[in-house]
Amino acid sequence: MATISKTIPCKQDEPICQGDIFRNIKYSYIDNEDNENVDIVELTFSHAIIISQGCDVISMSNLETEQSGKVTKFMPSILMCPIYNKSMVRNAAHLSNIVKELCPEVTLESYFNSDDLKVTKKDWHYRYHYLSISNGKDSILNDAIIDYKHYFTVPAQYLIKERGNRICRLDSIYAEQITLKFAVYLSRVAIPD
Amino acid sequence: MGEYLKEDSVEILTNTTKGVNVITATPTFTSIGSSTVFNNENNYSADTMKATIVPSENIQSNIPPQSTEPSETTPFEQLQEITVKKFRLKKN
Repeated sequence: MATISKTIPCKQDEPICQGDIFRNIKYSYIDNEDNENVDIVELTFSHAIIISQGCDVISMSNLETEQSGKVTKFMPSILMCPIYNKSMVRNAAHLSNIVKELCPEVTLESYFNSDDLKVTKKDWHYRYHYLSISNGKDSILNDAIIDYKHYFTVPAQYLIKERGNRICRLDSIYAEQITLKFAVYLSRVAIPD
Repeated sequence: MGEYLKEDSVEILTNTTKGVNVITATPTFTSIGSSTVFNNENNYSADTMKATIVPSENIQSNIPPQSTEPSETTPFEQLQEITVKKFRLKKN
């Protein structure tokens, strides 16, 4: 079985950091525009984790909140990965609204098969990270999945304002486990058939 | 990690038909990561081990009742599907 990730204490006013998990994160983009209007698509992820490097995120947080630090530390956005319910991922239910609103001609199909599920539960799958989180006393998340094909960025200022929606901070070793797998997934080489 | 520890006592519980055997020992062992590796069988010499039998009823009475109710402080999070909203903004 996969390990259970542990959290470390984190006060609400602490700077944001790698491994912080938020609820209700909004990601917006311009879908279309003309001279008069812009069409916006706004996705809301029920949960997402900060993937960007910890020191970069803290430096950017300090730039925004304390107006201190070096301008070379500036980053326009913070990288995050959504966290999904395993049961929903299995039949692509987590994407049902996406399909309905953005690509209605596409049919929902099985997202991963039983073999994928077995490998994922052992956390051996190269694309998925199986995530359960405990604060040492209570379970915070169970049977969750990070799909490394899904990632997005939000401005640091947005996450700083949303610190009230930060549910926990992973201990660094567990955060690094997630980000290392993400880095490996992004650096994979596509081999021609 | 890799720390060499001495003088730590451990309790080994074994179930018997009469109760639970409690053996207190003072071994030397090496801690490697989250695993504990006992050096060799000589760590458990006769003069460092004491065995007592605790009757089963005494053991049972010390076990706190199991609560089936979830803790009120449990911050368990329910994961939901992605929601999508589309809207149009007018440029100034």
